[in-house]
Amino acid sequence: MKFFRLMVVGLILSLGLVGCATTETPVEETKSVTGTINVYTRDASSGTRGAFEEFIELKDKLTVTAIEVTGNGDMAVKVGEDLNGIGYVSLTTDFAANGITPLSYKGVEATEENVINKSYELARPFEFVTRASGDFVSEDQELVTLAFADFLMNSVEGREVVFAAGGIVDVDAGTAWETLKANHPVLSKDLSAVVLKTGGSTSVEKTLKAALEAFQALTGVQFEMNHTGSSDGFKRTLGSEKDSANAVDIGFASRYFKAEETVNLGAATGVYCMDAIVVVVNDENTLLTDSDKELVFDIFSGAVSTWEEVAK
Amino acid sequence: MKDINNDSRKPNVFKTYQDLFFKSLFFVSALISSLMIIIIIIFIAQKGISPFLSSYEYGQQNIISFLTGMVWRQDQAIYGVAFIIINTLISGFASLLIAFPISVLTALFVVKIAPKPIGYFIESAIEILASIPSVVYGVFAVGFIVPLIQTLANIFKVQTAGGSSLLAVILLLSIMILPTITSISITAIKAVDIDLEKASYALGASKTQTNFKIVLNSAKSGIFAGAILGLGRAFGEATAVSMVAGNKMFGPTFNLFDITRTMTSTMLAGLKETTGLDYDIRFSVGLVLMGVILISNLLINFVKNNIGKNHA
Repeated sequence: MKFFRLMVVGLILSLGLVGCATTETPVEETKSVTGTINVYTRDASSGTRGAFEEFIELKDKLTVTAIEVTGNGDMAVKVGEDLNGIGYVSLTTDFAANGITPLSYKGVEATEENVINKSYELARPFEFVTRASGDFVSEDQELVTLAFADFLMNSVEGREVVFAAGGIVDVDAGTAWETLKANHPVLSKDLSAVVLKTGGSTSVEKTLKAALEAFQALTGVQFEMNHTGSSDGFKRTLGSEKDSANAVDIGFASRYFKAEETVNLGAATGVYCMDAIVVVVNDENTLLTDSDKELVFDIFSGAVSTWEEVAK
Repeated sequence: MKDINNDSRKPNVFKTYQDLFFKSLFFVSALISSLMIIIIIIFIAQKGISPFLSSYEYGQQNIISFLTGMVWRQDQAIYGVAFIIINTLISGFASLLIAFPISVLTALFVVKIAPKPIGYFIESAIEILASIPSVVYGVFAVGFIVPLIQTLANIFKVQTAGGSSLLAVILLLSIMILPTITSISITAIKAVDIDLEKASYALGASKTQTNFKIVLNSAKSGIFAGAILGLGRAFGEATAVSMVAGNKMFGPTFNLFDITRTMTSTMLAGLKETTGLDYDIRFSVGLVLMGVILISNLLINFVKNNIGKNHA
């Protein structure tokens, strides 16, 4: 019985400890941020990390002391728990719920509105271009491709699934598919034998797949995605590989098409959504509210390693 | 007597075939389960060794710098596993150091000391603990252990990455391997011959003396089997650990409040999104991990054979 009594005492003691831990957490007197900066990053295969490093030209230069997290949600939670932390998340993240504050970039607040009107610069477009008119395997193929482009760009339904998959687009400004459908009489045919081929940027895959699946449910059209990189988007629809085995109906790029990529030759082209990344700090960190490329680069490359240096 | 002789001279044909059938059924089952381990080893070895061969499609890797490297960063294609091995050993053995004594004493208490209902209650609680999936432990660790360590760090005035640390990994693993070691120890202690204990009491030994010198020593084999399984779980845990480890890019980590990186969390991070060398190299890490586990088990066996020898 002695052991049992000891156990009970031990239990009570440990409960007491737990009590201490939970009551002491909010009594942190430190308001200003001091000490080292804890840089948070995603693992190297993350698309968000790829875009972030591209924006601030950080490729291969990330500080070796960075802490790797397992996902976008994990990043939000960890920075929300770490007063000294700084990280980056996609714009669709719930900032308040995780205790993180988004930083503005060059004085522009990170909002969907500012991303769409292009004033927020930590953002990139998801562009597409189709093959030239008359250069499809069949007339139906061309009409179906144009119908899908219309669905992706203009329909409420298309914008909704793209938005749900993380793309930034004004859903309410779209038109109901029911109305748009009338412009595409080809859709009344049996299209189960038509296979839409897409290629180009790998970053667009998530939003595009969502849109293709929604389109398939509405029309019965099959699709085939083979994405290898933004530069192949133009090449495989209108460029050097347009007649090769790699040819696709619609090519994508997660950047603006370059001047030498003559996309106006395509039957349709445009930006169907934007992708944006926000640099975030802990809620209690009031030191930093705005950022620019130089500051973000210095922090993430390790050139600036303490909050005191940032304060200067 | 005569009847029996008759039976053996004229064997029942049906029974003979029945025996043969079940014999081959058992043989095939045994063959499948033992083949699995061979197939797994061959597959992992094939994939894991391939990056170090001159014919490797993404460029041959140097096996020496892989095994002795102290930096792991995919963005620069630097893969060094030495510090990760050390980190894995530290977190695994440290958690065993915490969990092993607690488990063995709990098992002793449950079987030999506690009143029946209390022992039964504790045993059921441990069984439930053993069946909780690891991701649940991970969520618990992120929500409870990590903030606790942040509080501790504030008291000791050391800086942590919001609580993600080596200490968090050790505490998490201790809790996770506790039920494994305890339940196997309970079985082992229950199996100790009661005559041995009676003999000990007859020689005038006290209950405590008997428990420690006779019961534990006789159950040694089973208890150490529990320790091996526990250590295996500590080394093999990926999901929960990667949530609290911080995944440091260089090392090794000896500071309890610093972030760390283990082999399984390295293999897991971004696995679903990566290709090429970064994908294949994870199999090499897996191969190294199997080696580490094998050596650790041999080490524990060595300890087992040399412990309490003078009592045996």
